[in-house]
Parts: sequence; C-alpha cells; structure tokens
Amino acid sequence: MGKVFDIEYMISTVPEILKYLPVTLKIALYSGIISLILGFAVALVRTFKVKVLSQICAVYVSFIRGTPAMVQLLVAYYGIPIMLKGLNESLGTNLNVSGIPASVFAVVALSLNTGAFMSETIRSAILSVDAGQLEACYSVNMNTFTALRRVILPQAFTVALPPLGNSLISLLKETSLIFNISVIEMMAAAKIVGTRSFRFFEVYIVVALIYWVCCLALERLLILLEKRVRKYERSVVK
Amino acid sequence: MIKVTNLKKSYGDHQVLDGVNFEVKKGEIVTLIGPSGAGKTTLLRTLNWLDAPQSGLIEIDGVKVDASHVTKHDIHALRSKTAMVFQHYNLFANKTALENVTESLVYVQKFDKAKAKKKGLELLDRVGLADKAESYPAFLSGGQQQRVGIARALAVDPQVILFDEPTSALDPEWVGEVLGVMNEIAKDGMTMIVVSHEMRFVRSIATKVAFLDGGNIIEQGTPDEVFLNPKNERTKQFLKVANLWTSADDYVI
Ligand SMILES: Nc1ncnc2c1ncn2[C@@H]1O[C@H](COP(=O)(O)OP(=O)(O)OP(=O)(O)O)[C@@H](O)[C@H]1O
Ligand SMILES: [Mg+2]
Repeated sequence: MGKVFDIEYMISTVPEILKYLPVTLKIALYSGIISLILGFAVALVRTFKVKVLSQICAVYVSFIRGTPAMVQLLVAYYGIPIMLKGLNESLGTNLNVSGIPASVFAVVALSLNTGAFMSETIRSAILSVDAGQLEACYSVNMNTFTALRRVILPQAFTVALPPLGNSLISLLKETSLIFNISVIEMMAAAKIVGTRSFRFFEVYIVVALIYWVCCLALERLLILLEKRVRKYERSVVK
Repeated sequence: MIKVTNLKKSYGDHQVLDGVNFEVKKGEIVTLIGPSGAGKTTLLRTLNWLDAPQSGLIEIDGVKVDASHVTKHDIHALRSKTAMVFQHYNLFANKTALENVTESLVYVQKFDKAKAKKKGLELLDRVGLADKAESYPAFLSGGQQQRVGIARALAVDPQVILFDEPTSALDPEWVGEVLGVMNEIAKDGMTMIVVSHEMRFVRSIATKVAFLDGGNIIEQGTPDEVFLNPKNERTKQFLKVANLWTSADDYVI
C-alpha cells in the first residue's frame, strides 16, 4: 500500500488542474455579467409592475428559487436543443443545434439561476431607498428616468452590493456543477487526473484550495468596491 | 400670481382638501397654520404636484393646470415654477452638498457643468455653506442640511418656494440659522408659502397668515389680524390650544 496522503503527488497535479482554471473563470465571468443585467432588468420590471412581463418574471423567479441548480443545468442542457429544433422546424430555419458548445448551456443555466436571486436582491434594495429621495427628485423637476439614474439606483446599489457579492461568490462555486454537462473545466480536469491515479482525495483537495483562493480574491475585490460606494455614508465607530 | 380654485383632494373617502380657494401675490410670505391632519402638507404638495388632487385649478405665474385632466407637460411646467423644502430635508444622500444643488441645474435645466458648479457655489454661499460644498449630507448638521435644502430649492429658480415645517425636525440650536436664511430670501423678494408654527418666523417675516381647517382655508389676514383678532371661532380655539394666541401686550415682545 502506498501513502495515505501523497503530498508530492498532490502538488504535481496542480499545473494540470490549474490549466482549466481559465475555463471556470470565463464561464463565471460571463454568467456573472449576464446575471447582473438580467437581475437588474427583472427587478425594474417587477418594481414598476410592468403588465404581463412582471407576472412572467414572478413565475421565473419562483421556478428558479424552487428547483435545484443541478436540475436547472440539466434542463437547460437537454431542453434548449429541443426548443431550438422545434424552432427550426416551425420557422424553417436551419440553426446548427448540435454545433453549440456545452459551455454555452452552462452560461445560460448559471445566468438564469443567479439572475433570479439577484433580481430579488436588487428589487428589495430599490424599495429600501427612502420615498423622500424620489419626491425630492420630482420637486426639482427631474423625470423618473433621471431620478433613477442619478439618485435612486446608486443608493440601491450600495444596499445591494454585499448580497450581490454573495451571489457572485455562489456563482463562482456553482461552476463546479457544470462538468455534469460535459464541459471540461477544473472539476472535470480533476476527475480525469484522479481517475488515472485513483487518488481522488488529493485532486479534490487541490480543486478546493483553488476555489478557496479565487473566492478570497473576489471577496477582497468586493470589499474594496464597497468602501468606494459607501463613501457618502457616515461610518460607525466599532 | 398664485391662484388656487376649488382644489379637492381625498384619500379614499377621506376628503382632505374640500374645495380650497386662495391667492398669493408676488413677494408675499404666507404662513399656513392649522391643526394636525388639516391638510397643510397635502396642500403644499399639490402645488409641487407631489400629490395629485382630484379636481380644481392651480395657476402659478401663467401656468394653468386643471387637476381633472392633467398632462405630463403640465406637471413639468408647474414644477418648474415651484420648489419644495422638506421637513426632513430629503437631501440626495449620495450627492455632496454642491451636487444636491447642481443636480437640477445640470439634469433638468441643462446647464453645462462649469456654469452649474459656479451657480451652485453661489447658492451655497447664499445660505452660508460654501465651505461645505464637498460634504455629503450625512456629515452635515440638521441646520446645515436644511440650508442646503433651501439652496437646492433656489436652484430651480422657482416663482414660489414651499416650506413644510422647515424647522420642526431641528434641534433648537439650529432653528435660528435656518430662519435667518429664510429671512434673507424673503427680503430678496421671493414668494414663499410656509407651513410653520414657529412664532419667531411668523412675527418677523410673514405678510399673511392662512388658517386651514376642515379641508378649507377658513380665515386669513395679516399676522396681526389673525393672531390678535381672530374672527372665526375655530381659529380662536386652535390658537388657544396651540398656545399661539398671544394677547396684545406679549405679542410685541
Ligand atoms: N398618502 C396618504 N394616504 C392616506 N391618507 C393620507 C396620506 N397623506 C395624508 N393623509 C391624510 O390626510 C390628512 C392630511 O394630512 P397632512 O399631512 O396634509 O396634514 P397636516 O396638516 O400637514 O398635518 P401635520 O400638522 O400633522 O403635519 C391626514 O388625515 C392624513 O392622515
Ligand atoms: Mg404636515
């Protein structure tokens, strides 16, 4: 029997696993950006109770909150091609469905998932801004759009930033699910490496450490950003 | 210059303003008094269209608005003639004192940034706060915040400024500086409608007092007329209860 825990082996696998970190980060980045935009749009639709759209958004948010991310991922992976094929048939178009890389489905599923949670965060942040702020905008004759852009949304953003940051960190970690739809990212790479030596424990420790470092870096970044946007608030002495 | 005709506003079946009529001439300083819940705040807010009345006419400096069919254009026209100073200041929390003043110059009146900054600093100077231009509201005292609120209202270049109990949220030590600034503005000829039970203010600068009760203005006149010789029974009652009815001798003090 070999060693219980082979540190040298573990270290030797780092480069091979790290090679796939960019894939993970890229998917997290794209999903992060899309989910922020989506979450913001859904929040506005629901805050202003846009007819029909806001009901659709409510169902969307409820569905995402009430189903596991893993299931959503698989539904997107198998469902989107079927939908596109149906579209091809009914419109007579010729989209190449099988040519779509699996990472696209991953981004779609992760964005839809994180976007729903972010929309709730942003919506409650907008509602948390004192009504007097909007009234003050109107009293100096601003229109609603300008009021939102200059006063309401910046204040809502300050409120929303910490929970949005948490959502981004969760998103980064959820990328570890997407090996299930055959995207070769860090987790998949670790599995492949582990299968070769049957030392799964070591490679998963490597993956865990890489995720940890990435999340710590993201956290630092968010703290810096929060300091910047909170500059107008009086800080409490601790 | 301001003419309000048969203005009605209700919340559900609670009729707050029940056909209010009143007029204000240019340069007049009107103090609006009345019991809590009489609708003083509501009346001011309708003039700035922060509350929409159900019916009635509001005419300010040539802008005529018929409340029963009002357009977006009407609302903007009306708001360009009026500005509001709020009881709780309502300064834009994420903007510096200067930006609070320049925001409407840049984004409503389309001043270029340099001109807006210059005018903003002038207005802050007028309320004695040029040195606080870069401070955020959270770092200003109540009195300072309210003075920024007044500068922000002046930036609209309104025909009338509406003050809703501008000093009632302030610690006593800050009341004087706000009244001082209001006094200055009044001297410069600004038309003002002020909800206030602050006798110092009423005595020193109000030119007219209007008593609002039961959804209507039931008595108005000069401060002397209303405070010394109220004609209406309800006015008398109110002044007594509110401790505002000063007999002729201590009124002078
Ligand atoms: N948004 C609202 N919804 C329902 N009722 C309202 C609303 N705003 C005001 N009211 C009611 O309208 C009446 C007049 O309110 P308003 O604030 O104008 O009184 P006020 O004269 O300013 O009183 P105070 O001296 O206490 O400030 C009150 O009975 C109040 O409860
Ligand atoms: Mg009031």
